[in-house]
Amino acid sequence: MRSDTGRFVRLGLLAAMAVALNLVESMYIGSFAYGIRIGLANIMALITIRMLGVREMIIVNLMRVVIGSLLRGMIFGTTFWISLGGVALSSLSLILTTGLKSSLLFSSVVSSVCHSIGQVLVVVFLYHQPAMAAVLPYLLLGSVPVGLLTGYAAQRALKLVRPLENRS
Amino acid sequence: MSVILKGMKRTERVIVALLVLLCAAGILFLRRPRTSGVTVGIYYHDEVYLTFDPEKDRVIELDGDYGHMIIEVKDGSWRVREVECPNHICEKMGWKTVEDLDPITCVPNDIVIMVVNDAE
Repeated sequence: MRSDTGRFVRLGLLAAMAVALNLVESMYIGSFAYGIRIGLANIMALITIRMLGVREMIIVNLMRVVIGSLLRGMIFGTTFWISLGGVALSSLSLILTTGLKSSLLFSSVVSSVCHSIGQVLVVVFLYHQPAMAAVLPYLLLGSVPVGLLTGYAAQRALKLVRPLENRS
Repeated sequence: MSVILKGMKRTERVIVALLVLLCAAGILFLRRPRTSGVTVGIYYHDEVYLTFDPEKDRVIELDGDYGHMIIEVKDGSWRVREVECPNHICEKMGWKTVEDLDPITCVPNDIVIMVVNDAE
């Protein structure tokens, strides 16, 4: 990408899509048993880190949590901290797996698993309930197919977007 | 599914498979039947007020911050039978067994009933 403006526009678009996906998912899909969610917004994080880089991915992820909870009107509430914890750990794992040159699918699975772990960690600390860690096996088992799904979606999307990359 | 998995390297597939196996093992471990050697504690003001063995049927009566509470223990499960409080949420939580990890909580009385230890 040559121009700074092009970069900013892409960053803005990706962040907006992440926020939108986040909201749409919580409105129309919601969560399954044990609070497992698809995490559609994670698709945008995967696309961003491959298209723009690490810093931009962190911005997109932060935007989706902050703006997402602002739009729900529940910023700085419990859910905010829980999702921030999830996003922090999943961003970290994304940086790590990308650094290790792993495949997009694997990065997606790992980041979805880490998202669950981060959320559970925050819950354990917020409520002083170490017993909550007992849901981890269920959550992680759910995270794997969900991560594969979002990773596959990101892969398909990147394939379509890549040819447009050099046009700006 | 196989189309999706094609995008992963071999070692990555192994790691994911191991993770799935580990989770399955964890779930089996958590779901193992256990009844004996479990102690349930009644916490009042965050301190253990009384412990009981869920295998021994009994009725426990105690007073909390708001009023009287009657706890019933029967056949390895326990519940709050009667309580003096505004919402009666703890009564509605019904019977709990060792399998339930969530405690029975009564906020107005500051009483929490949960498993304290596994002898295993």
